[in-house]
Amino acid sequence: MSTPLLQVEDLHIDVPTRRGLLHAVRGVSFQVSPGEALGLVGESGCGKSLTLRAILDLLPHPAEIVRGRVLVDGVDVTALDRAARRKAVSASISMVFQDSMTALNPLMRIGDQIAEAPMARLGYSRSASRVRAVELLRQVGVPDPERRARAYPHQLSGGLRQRVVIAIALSCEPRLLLCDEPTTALDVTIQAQVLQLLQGLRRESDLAMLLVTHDLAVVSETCDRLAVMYAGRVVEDGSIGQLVLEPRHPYTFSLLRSVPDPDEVRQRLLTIPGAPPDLVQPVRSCPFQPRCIFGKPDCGGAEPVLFELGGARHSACHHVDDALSWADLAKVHA
Amino acid sequence: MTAVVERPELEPADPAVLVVAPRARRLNPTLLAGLVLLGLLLLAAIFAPLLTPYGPTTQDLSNSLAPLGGKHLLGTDQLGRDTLSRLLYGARTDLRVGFLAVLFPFIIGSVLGLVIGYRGGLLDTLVMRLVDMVIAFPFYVLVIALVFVLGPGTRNIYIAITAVGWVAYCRIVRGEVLVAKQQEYALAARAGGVPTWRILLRHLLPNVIVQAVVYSMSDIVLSILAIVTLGYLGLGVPPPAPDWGSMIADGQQFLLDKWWLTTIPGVAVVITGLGLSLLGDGIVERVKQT
Repeated sequence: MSTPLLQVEDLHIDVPTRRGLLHAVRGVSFQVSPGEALGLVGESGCGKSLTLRAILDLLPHPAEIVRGRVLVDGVDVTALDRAARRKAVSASISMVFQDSMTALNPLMRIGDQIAEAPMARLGYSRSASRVRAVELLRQVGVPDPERRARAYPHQLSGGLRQRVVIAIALSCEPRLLLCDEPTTALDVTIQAQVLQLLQGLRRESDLAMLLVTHDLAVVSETCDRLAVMYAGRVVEDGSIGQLVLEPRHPYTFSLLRSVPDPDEVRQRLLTIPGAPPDLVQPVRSCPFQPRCIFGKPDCGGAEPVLFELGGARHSACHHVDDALSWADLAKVHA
Repeated sequence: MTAVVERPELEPADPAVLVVAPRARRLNPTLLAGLVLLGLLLLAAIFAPLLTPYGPTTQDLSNSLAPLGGKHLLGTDQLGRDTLSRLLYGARTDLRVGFLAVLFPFIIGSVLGLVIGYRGGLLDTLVMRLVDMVIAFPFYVLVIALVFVLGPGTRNIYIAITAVGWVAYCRIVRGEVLVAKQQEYALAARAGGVPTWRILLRHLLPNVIVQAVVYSMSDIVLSILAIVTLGYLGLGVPPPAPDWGSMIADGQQFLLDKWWLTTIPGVAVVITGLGLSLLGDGIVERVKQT
């Protein structure tokens, strides 16, 4: 088996707050192989964005990695000093940011913004990087790229801007693209276009992708594997097909159930009641237990670890074995 | 019968061109008033030799303390020097010193604010505590004390005003950088391996400098007032060079019967301050629009 492009091992991130240390990420592990697309889903505050930023060493102050490693091509980049780390990571990984409004410098022509990284990192000359910028704009499907390269961000529509953001991410020929909710700020038709673009890019250049989102529909369309995060941990992972068809963790199950079904006309939108636990307090039981529709008294004993389920699947539920009967149980609850 | 429907030829829409079309840009009245006032002052200063036949330091003791009108339009002072000449040449001194005394703190404060805002850490803490210390003193007290220690003269005025004035720019720029560096374009540049100096100069500086520029307009007023005040206290540009502050001070003893000796340079100061304030407000308004 080839070495994974990216490995995150037992990552812990703490954020000092007024109330004490917030353990935002508590031992997250996953890996992305070359050409593979992994989706990372979870609700707001589950630590998915922090995990993504930690990979690129872009954690917002005062959050910091307190334990764990990030390996790029088998090299532990967390052990390197800042400059070397940035160099090692940016050589093969780049990021597509969420909000194309703030992801582009409002005072710089977009051609110059795309050309910047190739010039700084790959030693392109000014004119060569200009040509490269136009070429990238064409690759991400921006019409009339020569003229658009001279435009400022405010002169482009949201969809075009997001394409520019992707072009910037592609400018140094990465092998892994980190996408932080790349379609959240877009309306649905543009969303579909951008997803199609990302899919196309993956096929063309064997690009691996790590997609962070809370939109299960986006993930199931784009990704090969899925990791579901809850309260700073991965609670279930496996291939998309497995997870969507037969989830083995109640949280995944509930998430899937709260996706509205377009065929059902008069359906009440199902939600997950309650709120995630306060991560300043130590977690002593299953963090999902208070919100779990299958919760049992013995769930409060200890926090469950990830159980190996075979077929590269894991789930962190005390009652994984009951999973097959959940669908029936849920009907009773509803 | 089939009606022939006239279809107007639709021009293929070109979104980029449509959006690029520049908005009508009109000068707002505040900005216009400021520009006019300041423009007149600058013209008067530049063309001073053409506007008055007398030199600013030429003494004519037989004709001292001449009244308004007559051969000397604005009269003469106790040494028989032409007031109009001194007023116009004084504008040269005071405006030049005023602008330059803002330029140095502007550059030093902005660069420092940019660096410490981006870097953070110990340097940031140390510089900001220094800023707090300087701000704790009233501006004039500190400037006057510094000039008093260093001795009067243009160079020392620059040094004193720079030493006190940079803190404002440092604070403004630092605050803006703290916000701007968390913007995704700055993160993207960092993640893309763009060197730090480039991030600072190309991404952050252009986005944060506007606030400092706006502040500098009101700062010029402050600095011109400071120079005039120093001149009045005898700590300004050394005599016999013309300067509004020393004109006010010299005319003071004749205030009862020769009131114009102090009033005219005083009015000049007021007009300058007004012009610069209007200009500053006008720029703020303009920036808000876009």
